[in-house]
Amino acid sequence: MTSATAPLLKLSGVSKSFGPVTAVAPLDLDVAAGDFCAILGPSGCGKSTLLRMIAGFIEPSAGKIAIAGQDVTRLGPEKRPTNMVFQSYGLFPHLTVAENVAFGLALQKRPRAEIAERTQEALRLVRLETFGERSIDRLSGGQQQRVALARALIMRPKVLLLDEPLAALDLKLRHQMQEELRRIHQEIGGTFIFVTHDQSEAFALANLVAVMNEGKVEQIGSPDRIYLHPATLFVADFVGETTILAGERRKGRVRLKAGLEFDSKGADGPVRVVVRPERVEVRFGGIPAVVTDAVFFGSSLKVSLKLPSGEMLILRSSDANAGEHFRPGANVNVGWDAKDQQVIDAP
Amino acid sequence: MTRHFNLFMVPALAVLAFVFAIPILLLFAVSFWSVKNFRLQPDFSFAAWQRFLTVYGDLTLYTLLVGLLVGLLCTALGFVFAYAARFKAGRFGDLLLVATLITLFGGYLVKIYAWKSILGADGLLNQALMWLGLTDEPLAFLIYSRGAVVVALVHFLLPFAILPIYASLRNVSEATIEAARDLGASGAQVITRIVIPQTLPGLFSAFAFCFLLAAGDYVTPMLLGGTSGSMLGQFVLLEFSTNFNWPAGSALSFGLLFACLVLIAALAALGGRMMRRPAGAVS
Repeated sequence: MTSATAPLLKLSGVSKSFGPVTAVAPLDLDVAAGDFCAILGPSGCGKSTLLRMIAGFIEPSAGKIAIAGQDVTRLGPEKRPTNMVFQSYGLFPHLTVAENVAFGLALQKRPRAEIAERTQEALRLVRLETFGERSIDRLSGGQQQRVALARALIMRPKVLLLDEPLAALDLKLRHQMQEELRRIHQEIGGTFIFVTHDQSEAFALANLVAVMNEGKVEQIGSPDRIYLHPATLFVADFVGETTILAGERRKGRVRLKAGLEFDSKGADGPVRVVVRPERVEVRFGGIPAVVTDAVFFGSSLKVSLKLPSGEMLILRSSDANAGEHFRPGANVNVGWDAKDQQVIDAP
Repeated sequence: MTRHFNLFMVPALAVLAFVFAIPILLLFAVSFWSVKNFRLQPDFSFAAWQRFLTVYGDLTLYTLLVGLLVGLLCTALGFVFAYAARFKAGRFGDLLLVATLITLFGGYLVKIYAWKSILGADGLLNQALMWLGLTDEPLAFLIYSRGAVVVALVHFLLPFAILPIYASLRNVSEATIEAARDLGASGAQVITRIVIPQTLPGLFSAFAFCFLLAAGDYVTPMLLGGTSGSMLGQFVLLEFSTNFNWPAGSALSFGLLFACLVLIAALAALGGRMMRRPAGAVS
């Protein structure tokens, strides 16, 4: 990394074990100011533990956490320039919306006028200007989410942490809140880190994605890099729809069980080739395949194909009228460009 | 719907009326009756109430003070215990609660006699003090005093405080505590601004339980209070039994009841105002 400016948040060799169980294996993560970073992984992969270590609720077993050059590894959450939006929101039920939002500033004994002004500003940012006097239990889930966001943002944290912020919302509201989060991130230009198990959410929001599995970071990179060039089979499989084909490399040439051959540098041994469905197309002289199923999604068509090797290949066509070519049982020839495939050494 | 609902309530209301409301009203009426030649007869006299106010006024105030003190001590200690059981004891929290429940089975008189054997002239505490050389002869004020009554009452009533406080602490989510810490609250601020405001109903019922039970008690002061630690309840018993002055006994018990209710209502009103303008508000 030859970044001109030092990263805002720097994790070096951070790990966490609970007794004999390793929740988070040693990892490095650099997040620059203004980044919108997603920590993506299945449940139980250690992503929440990682976020709680950044927030200060869990002390790392080893490693160092620095924010804006200051070592915060041993500081509690109340002393860190981070604020968190909790998965269950953690709103104070005995306070009104405005009192919830003002809580952090009231603790700092700021002047009354400043608190009132900044509370109003934070409520405006989350579009709840008129809700200040409401009690928490008279808000919908989405509104509670916004209050939790305003309560954290009013503190002007160097890093805003969000723990599965949208998991409790229904699909429509989730998309709406994703838009809100993007807008707020652009409006205040802050640094956000959020944890999610939903790859579409990670891709929709983040410019930097860290994929975790079983306590280890599998890959860190931009969404398109992770989608098109997954570093590991886990990433390929977890992120988006994908086809993984088995093959073997000998002397710089890979031969797939499905019957394809191409050049590929690397050690001899078994490999896997990862292809995204929308990169697969009907191609003269391609691999012969049999259509087993075709599902119409409105904007696209998802076709399941059986290859001669017995492996399944998914094809996604944006031509919604292509349905007649893909009747179950039909024979088609399919292929893809070499640049759209990712060759990964099999474990 | 409503008609059926009312019908279903009839048995409950009947039981309540016959075993509770009617006897209470009868006893209240007795406080205006008079006693002539050891016979109770209907009357409309304020003599018993006058006796309550003139003879027992000071003792009523003292009894209320003991109740207040015991109620406050139990609520404070109960909060500490329940807080530890809820947030600090981890999986042993429920075990601690079962332990407090078990002490309730121990019985009331057993506890009083236990304190007698601890605080008595040749009790454990005096023996220990003498063995340590802190005193040459047994300290007489340990037992048969106001202090002994308060200590025994707090010990006996503590579970009645712990249980409602623990129940309301269960409803305080960890996320609210973590959120407060994240926003910069110290440990003390988390308790005063987040935990206590959310626990007020439990704290209030804990206090009300302990206060009412302590103020109405007559066995503990009888066995541990001596002459200085007497409470009004003993004299209710005295008027009813030894003096055969039912009107006076009735006036005393209702006088104490009304005084307690007024005190509880005042505290409830205060608590209600605190709920509306909580400590976490803009300060």
